Amino acid sequence: MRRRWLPALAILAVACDDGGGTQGDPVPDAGSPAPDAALAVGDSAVAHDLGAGPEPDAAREWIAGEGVGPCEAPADLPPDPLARTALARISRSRLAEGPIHMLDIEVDLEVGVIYTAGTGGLFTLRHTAGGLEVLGVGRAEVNGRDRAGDFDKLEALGAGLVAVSHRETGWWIFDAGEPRDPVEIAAVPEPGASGMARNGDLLYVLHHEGRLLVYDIGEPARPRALGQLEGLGNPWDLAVAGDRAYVADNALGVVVLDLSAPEAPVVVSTIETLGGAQDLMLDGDRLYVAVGAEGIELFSLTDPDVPTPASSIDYGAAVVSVSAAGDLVWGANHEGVVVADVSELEAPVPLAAERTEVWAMHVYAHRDGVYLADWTQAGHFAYDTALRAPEAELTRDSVPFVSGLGEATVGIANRGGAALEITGLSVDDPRFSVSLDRLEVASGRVGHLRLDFVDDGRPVDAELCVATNDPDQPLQRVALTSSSTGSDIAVGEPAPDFVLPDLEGRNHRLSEQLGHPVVLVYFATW
Amino acid sequence: MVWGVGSQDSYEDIVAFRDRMGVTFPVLYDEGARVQRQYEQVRARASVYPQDWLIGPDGTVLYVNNEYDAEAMIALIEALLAE
Repeated sequence: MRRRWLPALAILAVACDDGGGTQGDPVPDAGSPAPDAALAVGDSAVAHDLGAGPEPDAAREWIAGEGVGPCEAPADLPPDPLARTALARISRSRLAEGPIHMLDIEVDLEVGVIYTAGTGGLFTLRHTAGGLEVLGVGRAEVNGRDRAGDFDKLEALGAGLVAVSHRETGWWIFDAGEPRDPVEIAAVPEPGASGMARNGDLLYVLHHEGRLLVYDIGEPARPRALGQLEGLGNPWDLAVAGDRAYVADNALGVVVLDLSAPEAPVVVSTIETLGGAQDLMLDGDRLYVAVGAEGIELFSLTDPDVPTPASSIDYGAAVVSVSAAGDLVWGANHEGVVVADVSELEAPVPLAAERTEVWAMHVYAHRDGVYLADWTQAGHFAYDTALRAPEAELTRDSVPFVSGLGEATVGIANRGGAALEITGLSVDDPRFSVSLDRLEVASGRVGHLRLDFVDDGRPVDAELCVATNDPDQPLQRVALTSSSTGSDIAVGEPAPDFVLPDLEGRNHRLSEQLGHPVVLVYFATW
Repeated sequence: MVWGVGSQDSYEDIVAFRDRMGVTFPVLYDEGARVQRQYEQVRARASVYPQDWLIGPDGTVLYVNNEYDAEAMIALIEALLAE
């Protein structure tokens, strides 16, 4: 199994419950563990079973791992229904300049061109039997200097026109009718721009400060402001159908708008979502909402003014984008693409997940496949609807054994559409014994592996090996290490006091936080 | 209290990153990694980000990560909040 580094800020949702989207950058493999060090927080037990369900340990019956079988890939694996069929490495394209972080993707079916946008510009691609080919790039000039693009969102307007926005600088319309040379035809330098949706001659542009602006783009080169709505929260994206709009408004949930007077939208209702609403997709009388760590939430629009929660699909990592075509709903969860069968709104069935090399940011579904904006690259994935296979996902890829910790639990989720069989288990260190609470994990469920550890004080550098009938990754491994620190400042020592300014220039002093725990996270934006 | 700290990128990049992530807690700017270097002069793997320190209510360091382990961090935070 490839070790993946979860988004840098994911943990912070626990500490501050901001409900918002989180993301970070990939970091190379961690390599070998550092020297042993003890760690204790008062007398509190350090719980490790975060991927587990509500079922208490005592209620489970544990099966000894030795009897399950050796950790070898089963010979008769089912075929994998989900596969990447095309890939364009945009960052390696001759058109790339500076960093490439693709954040959005969409297909203009009229002209058969794929648009993807982010830091680095608006790229046009074509998908042929030969694969995905980067055709051209459009970049916007801001205040006389080439920002090399820097877009967050895009909206295909049809007929080769495409709108792009950036939260600091505003939004633009490009004419990509000649996809090898997208040309900027309009610029609206209004900071705060977020998601956009076209409705006839109107373009609705969300603003992160809680506004929705309405523009007439009947003449695309001359957008004309018509009106606006205030009072939204921090909206990310919207979808329009007839005289209703649905806004993914982060912590507020989904906000339904009445567009009967197109230039003066009115809030009809606000529906809470399981997690912060990041992206949404309208599909007839259904609404699919990407709700971060809670996965994808499904709503019925039988009453279009009041979306009714029907079900949700948990995908482990935070789902930041959603798209649907036919019975398949797709999501991007930073780690890769996920797909589920939603033929029954109340009972969606997870089908498969495919990890990607970089950060899966945005999906656009088309027929039985999906296009993915994957940070430095764009990809296409296809799902064979005739097949069903299990998909094993371990809830952790490493377990640090802190002093005094005698056991730990690792969840094993089945994100696939067929039963997952655990066929082998082993640990290459005799101080560990492993057991499990079930040999077969049903689709959409989570099983548990328990590690019991006899601590003799020596460092831990071992591996738990898990064999399953997952065709994608039949063998997965969990690193078992000593909890450690390589820092100059050891655990238990006083933290040096400091004063640092925040991004608004206000100073913060560590010692002023005495009496409260402080989580200090040094991050990198790359 | 959660503080994100940027030390490896320009002020502009950190602002853009903060905004793009929709971060709601304070993000501090440690220009030139002045403070960061007090906290770590020798790390086993200096290039690993994020670098997390958990500082207890009494001002002592409770946890330093040497690799990214969200679960261990969450467990510690939950234990602290429960105290």
